Amino acid sequence: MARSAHISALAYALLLSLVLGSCGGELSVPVDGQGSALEAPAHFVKLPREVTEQATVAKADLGKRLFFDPILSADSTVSCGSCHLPELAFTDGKAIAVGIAGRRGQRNAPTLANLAWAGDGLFWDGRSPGLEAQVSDPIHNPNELGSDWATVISRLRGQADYQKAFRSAFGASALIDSSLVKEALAQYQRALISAESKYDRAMRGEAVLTASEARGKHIFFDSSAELPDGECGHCHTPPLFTDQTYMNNGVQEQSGSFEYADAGRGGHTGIRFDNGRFRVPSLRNIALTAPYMHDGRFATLEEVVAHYNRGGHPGPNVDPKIRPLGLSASEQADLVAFLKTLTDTAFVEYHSRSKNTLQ
Amino acid sequence: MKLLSRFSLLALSAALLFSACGGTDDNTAPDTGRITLNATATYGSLPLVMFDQNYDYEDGMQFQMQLFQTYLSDIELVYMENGAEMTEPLLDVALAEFGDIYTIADAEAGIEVVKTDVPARNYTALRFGVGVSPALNATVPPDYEVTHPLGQNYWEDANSYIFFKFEGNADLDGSGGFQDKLTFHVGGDNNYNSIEFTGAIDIAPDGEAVLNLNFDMEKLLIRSNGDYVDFRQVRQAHSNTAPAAVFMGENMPNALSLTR
Repeated sequence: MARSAHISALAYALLLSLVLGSCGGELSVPVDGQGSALEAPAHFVKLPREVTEQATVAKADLGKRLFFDPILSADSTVSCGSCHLPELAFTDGKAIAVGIAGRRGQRNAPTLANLAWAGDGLFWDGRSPGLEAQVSDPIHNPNELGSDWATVISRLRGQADYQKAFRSAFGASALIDSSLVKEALAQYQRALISAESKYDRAMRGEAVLTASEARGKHIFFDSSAELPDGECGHCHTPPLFTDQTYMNNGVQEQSGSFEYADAGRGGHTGIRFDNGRFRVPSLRNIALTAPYMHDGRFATLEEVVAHYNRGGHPGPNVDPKIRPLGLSASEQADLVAFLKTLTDTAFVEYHSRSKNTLQ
Repeated sequence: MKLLSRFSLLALSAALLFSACGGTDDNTAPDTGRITLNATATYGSLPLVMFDQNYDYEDGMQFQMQLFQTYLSDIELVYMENGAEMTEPLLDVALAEFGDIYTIADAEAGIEVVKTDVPARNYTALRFGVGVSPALNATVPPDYEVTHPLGQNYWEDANSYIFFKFEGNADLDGSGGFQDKLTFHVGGDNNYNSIEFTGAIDIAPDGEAVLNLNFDMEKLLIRSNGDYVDFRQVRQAHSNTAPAAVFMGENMPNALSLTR
């Protein structure tokens, strides 16, 4: 792959913002002067123009404030950031997310990195068409924020500083409503771009993988005749490390033909062939996002790799690439070592620090 | 009819835009008609559906499908003008995905590859490539937006897009279990096939021609001389040089038929 322009404008902007952040500046989102606040790294697929043109720092800053503000929950105890912690690459470390009053949700909280590229559905079952639309789901879900738009809007309108922030982001005549809240939150999440891991640096020739990491990379991408195929890279395709499809990876045991305890994608589409399928998650920062799978059943990456090495539970719509792999213990360790190269420390540190610089 | 991709709509929009702006010297727009190219897939005479259909294979084996998809490149119509061969481009690249074809009705309806207005003429052939043309295969996903057909399906280590995928489950021993996984991914310039179907494609002013391109999986897997991909010997091939991948790449032209 051609990689001549490896340091993107985004990377420079991120470095700039890190410097400013360390000096107590207010920049919280990469920005390139007067242009869009959002730009794809050079080695990523491009973002649609309509996505980049909408993005502004003011909207993303407002979205960040809303994201970490428990005002969005019914009892003002839980925020989006309660289940999507920057220090855990915007996951929560729990098997199943917990909302207001300690209520247990349905599934594992997924990472929010690189959702600017998300297409064909959000959530594990893809039930929401996009970042703006999905905001209503946690707002209304009784096991998450458990609120409603009337309450949320009333509270926000009652705070003068929020009124000022919305006018700053959306214009002097802006009146706080659900559409503006959705847009601000979506803009913040689109700005959560993770593209500077050791893997990225190694691909640019700026870092060298260890022997174990390099073997793991070959296993991941089926790229060495001397090593077994891990079949990982088919679905976890770089640079996003997800192909954004829905797959049955054999983690659930069938209770009947095409029947599963959690129907996943099929629960949304109503198509029985989709039962047991879930959105392929990105593996970026995967070492920070334990536990794993839609139900958080695996506590460690070693357990995940062992699952795939066994080939998973059988089922008619289990993806054909899920099969016994025959990886030795050391090869499984190599694969885990490679997965750990996908951690973007700068991304995590920046956003962890950034949440504490709310205006 | 399933819509192939947003890219088709873009191509159609572009074609409409250019047709609206591209007047002749006397400022008279050429008469246009419409061309539609659909794609279907079969296994022999059986419509190709995912999951629900058992397909009888060689030597007592059976299989079920989970995915068939393929790129089509440089799709164009051919015509003659003043004794010279000319072409009318329809679309530079499309990804035909059959992975969500679950019913016979959907399989028979097929996938819309391209639908666009073209100058009304008596065309003499349809020309295209199966796979990603060498020029486009020299590009990479970062050259495209995330929704573009070439924003995905790329092999970094092989410097190639995956031209087509065939995935399913096989029953090798007649047990009815379909436990043996089949994943054949084929790419590389060596597996790109340029195809031309000659024959009259007449498009009258305000008229429409509908073409149907069929992919026959039986002919993709089994040659006329009886050679076939033996699932008992090979069930995975993900490269541009693996024998099974090359076999299928070479066979692809035999698997195609066009009806008007």
